Amino acid sequence: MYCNGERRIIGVIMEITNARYQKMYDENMEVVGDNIGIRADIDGQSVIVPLDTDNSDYQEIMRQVAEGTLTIADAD
Amino acid sequence: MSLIKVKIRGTDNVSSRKNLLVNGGMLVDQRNATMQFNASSNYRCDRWYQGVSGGGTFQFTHSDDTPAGFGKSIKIQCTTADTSLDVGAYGYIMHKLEGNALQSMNSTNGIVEHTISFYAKASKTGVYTVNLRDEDNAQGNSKTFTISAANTWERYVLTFPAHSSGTLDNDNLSSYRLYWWFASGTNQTSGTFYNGTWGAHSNPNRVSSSNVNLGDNTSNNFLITGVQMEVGNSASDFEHRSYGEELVDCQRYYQKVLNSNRIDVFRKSGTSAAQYIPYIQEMRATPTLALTRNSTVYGPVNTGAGSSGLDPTENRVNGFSLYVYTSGTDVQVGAECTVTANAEL
Repeated sequence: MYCNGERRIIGVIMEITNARYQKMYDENMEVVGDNIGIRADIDGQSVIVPLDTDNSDYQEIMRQVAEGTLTIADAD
Repeated sequence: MSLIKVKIRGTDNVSSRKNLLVNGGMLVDQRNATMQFNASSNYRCDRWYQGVSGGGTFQFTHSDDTPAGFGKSIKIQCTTADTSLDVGAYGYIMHKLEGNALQSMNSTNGIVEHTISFYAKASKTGVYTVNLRDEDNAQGNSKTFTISAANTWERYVLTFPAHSSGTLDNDNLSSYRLYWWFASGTNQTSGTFYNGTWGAHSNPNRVSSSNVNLGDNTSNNFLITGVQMEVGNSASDFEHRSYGEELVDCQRYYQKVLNSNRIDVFRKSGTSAAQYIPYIQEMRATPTLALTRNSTVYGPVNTGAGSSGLDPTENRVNGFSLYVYTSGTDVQVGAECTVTANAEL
């Protein structure tokens, strides 16, 4: 169970930047369909975070979004 | 009719897998990363998380310095000293456990008595704190141990009492944490230290006010291995598992796939073609993926799309599809890459 604020109390806040939803591409290399993940740089590493509430990175992204310190751009 | 004596619940009736921790012997280190920081957190050995902020700089290494009978340890070396800790400073190593791995700790309305044992060695003598956090029931507890002989491996045993504040969830989320604190500002020491008594989780109660500051001198170091948590009020011998056994358990939380090996696909139409990549071990949750492609590609890979021409998608706990983008049809393309999958708690 993840407790709100835990990382700020006993751990350093994860630095999350360049968050952008991930989608599939169509035949013209245009994004299409539903979001399937979030591309982001976490602590300097480019990663793809799944839309899974059990994933701790996704939990942290959503926490920062709720706090207003992070926004997730649309897929491009 | 003969009677069979049933032993009381505890370590006596546990013949295997008595150690509830994973990689307690520090054998597995899949990341193999150089870690030196004063304001960051990460994993060194698998399942062992290091957190440091504002209290000197520490280097974490996977060490061969061990007590007899062990192969590896974690070594924490102070590399930049800070003799005056800020209130929010801290340094710890931590092990998180998911609830479904701890069901043997549950009683009808709480958790049973359990014992934590470990081998530690430090150049700096003094008081260190082991802190427990029951996340499911918002409970905390702590005890201290004292290193009285410098640079000497000793085994320490701490037994924690039962509590009746609720059971641990039977799920794949973080339920229980164990911390070894080697530095702490007053944010964690200013309250009433738990000192073996369960209480509501409260940050100021977590660490003894007598806790050492390992970061006050660059000659200081602390090593730990052979960590075990078992049900009951006594510590049994450390349960040695093979590297392979520990690796499989660790891969539930983190693993590398492909490892710079080449993957080829054939594109008939569209903009890409994909191949399913199974994980070595089913993961705890859908993992976060990081993909690194080697510089050489084979055929007309569209390196401007996705992650340098590749994209892991359709990601689930058992595997993902690796898409390779191409700029031609009726063509075979390939690339070498490594994907790390992270489903840590």
